[in-house]
Amino acid sequence: MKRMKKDQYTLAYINLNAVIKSIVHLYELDKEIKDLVGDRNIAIQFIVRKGPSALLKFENGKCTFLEGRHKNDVLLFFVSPIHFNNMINGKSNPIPLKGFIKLGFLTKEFNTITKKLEYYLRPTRDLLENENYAKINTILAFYTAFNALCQVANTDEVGKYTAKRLSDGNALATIGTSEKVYIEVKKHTLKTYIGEPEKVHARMEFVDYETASGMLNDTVDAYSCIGSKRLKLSGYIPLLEDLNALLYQTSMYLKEDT
Amino acid sequence: MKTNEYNESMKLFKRALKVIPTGVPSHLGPVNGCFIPIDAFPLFSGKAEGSYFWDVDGNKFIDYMCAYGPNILGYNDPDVENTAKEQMLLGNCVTLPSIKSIEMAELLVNTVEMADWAFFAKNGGDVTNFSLMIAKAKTGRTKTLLIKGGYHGIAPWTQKLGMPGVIYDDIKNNIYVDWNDYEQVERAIEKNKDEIACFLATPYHHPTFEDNQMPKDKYWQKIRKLCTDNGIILAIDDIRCGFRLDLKGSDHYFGFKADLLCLSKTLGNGWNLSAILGTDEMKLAASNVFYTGTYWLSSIPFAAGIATINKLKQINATELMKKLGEKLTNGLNKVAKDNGFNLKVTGHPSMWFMRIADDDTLNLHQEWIAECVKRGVFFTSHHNQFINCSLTEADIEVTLKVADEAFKVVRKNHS
Repeated sequence: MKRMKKDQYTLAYINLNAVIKSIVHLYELDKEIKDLVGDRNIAIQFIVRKGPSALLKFENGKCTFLEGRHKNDVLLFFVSPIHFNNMINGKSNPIPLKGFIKLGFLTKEFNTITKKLEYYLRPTRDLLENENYAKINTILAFYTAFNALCQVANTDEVGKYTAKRLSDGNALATIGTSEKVYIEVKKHTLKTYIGEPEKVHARMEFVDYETASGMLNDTVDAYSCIGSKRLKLSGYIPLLEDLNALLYQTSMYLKEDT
Repeated sequence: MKTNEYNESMKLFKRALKVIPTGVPSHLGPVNGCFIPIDAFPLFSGKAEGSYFWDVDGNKFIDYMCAYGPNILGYNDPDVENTAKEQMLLGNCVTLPSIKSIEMAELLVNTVEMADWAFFAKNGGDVTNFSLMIAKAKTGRTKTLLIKGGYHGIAPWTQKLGMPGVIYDDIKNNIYVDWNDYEQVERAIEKNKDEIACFLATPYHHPTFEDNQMPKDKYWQKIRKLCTDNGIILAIDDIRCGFRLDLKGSDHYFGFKADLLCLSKTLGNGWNLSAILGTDEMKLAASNVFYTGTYWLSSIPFAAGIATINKLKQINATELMKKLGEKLTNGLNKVAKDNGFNLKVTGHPSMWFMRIADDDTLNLHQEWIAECVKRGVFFTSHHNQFINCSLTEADIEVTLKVADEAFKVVRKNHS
């Protein structure tokens, strides 16, 4: 272990299990995307050799994401994490191994979906002035950040070092009363869940979307938010301290290559 | 009981945030200090005297954090402050050091049992870092044995990998072992034969968030022998415990002799000073390391330090603080029990750690601390507290009344 910079392996996990996964939220938040998919049912399996695999499924007006290998209609294979990360950056194409007749969905609809995702996840100051855009950006960035944090903790060498310090417990992050995600730490492995767990060991509460947006887009600092009670931390603080260190590392990954 | 408001503190915090990163930096700030919720705590002080400080809103507090340790005789102790004023008239930061630096070193050598010499700096971290450099210079080795969860300052090697600004190279020579696990130390030494320069630890384990732990019977004696047998320098970080347990040094208190001993918090009753004390065996290595700082030879802190130590001896400070700490913590335990809470107190009575043990999420404890602070008793949630010599029995009575009402509020909130 010598580096504190991003490696392609972790980046592939982030790109799949956090960035692509956020399509689930985009689908619910953006009507154009829902209309675009329409009543089509399609399950896309991503397999990255020596990396992550997951299934993105559009079915009966719902979009779901499952880590691992599952029954699918289209199978996209990537020879390495670098190959997958390049695809995310628009620099290479996947190798389709199954579902040739549904490839049209990939080149048209899915392409539009990923472009829309990029549009929301790469905000500009002007775009953030649009209230609706800012809200969608905040929600997507919120879930993406916490999902990505877990990938860093589980796969990055320095992240794993931080995870080794964590004792079992649940840390809940909320925006107002609408958005809730919690990180479950179990035997130094981190996993996110939507909603609130039975027992919360530590809380990180953004009082509103504006605060969360400011923090996630680096336009306000945590200290100002804590001082003005727009961000509240409570409970087992060492858990939040280490999650904060992981968030810091996560931001290094999310800022450049995705 | 009336509860405090902090309008002026909050105004100043907003002002500070514009020009100071985090507004109130470091462990004294609302974030690292775990001021939860923030509106229960004052953020800026106006003045201080004895065991009290007044915040910028005029609220008075009985202060059990004692500036995180330095306040040992009482804020603005007249004997210390008058000596400091006298020295100020003679000069402070001058090209050459004053005689006060020699007098202070002599006093420390005559006070602390293990010390044959003393070297001065400003902060605790200056001297813990120096202890490692001396050990490396003495042994020619590269690695350091540290206790998991121990705190030795803010230099990169003292921090946790993964935290912003800390890289693997900063901590690659650290070997971490669990407190009180002698066999683990033995195994680490065996695994890193002739590579470990130093074993650096606090006299007892006083991390934040966790119950503090005293050394097991014969732990230090066994560690001392193990270090001697393996050519490892035994350095004690006595920055927090120093002079609160024993004026002869905390190694003396626990019945062993350190090679190097770091002191700071209580040396000057708030005047900025730290010291590393060593045995004759370490003196040449200490001389060989280039180590200095701009204000390290300022004479006022030395003069204040001499006055502080002399007064601590005169009033038998360690015994006094122990008795006050016992009275207070026994009282807090009783008040907690009367209200149906299990308050667990650990560590030495003069710098005890406490937590409500009924709730592992720490929420109840944070609520109780906040209610105490709102009523004028300044505790922090997850750090050990401190006793100072100016604390009175009347202060303890007030504290117990506040603690009782705070427990009742928490009970009511959860009934």
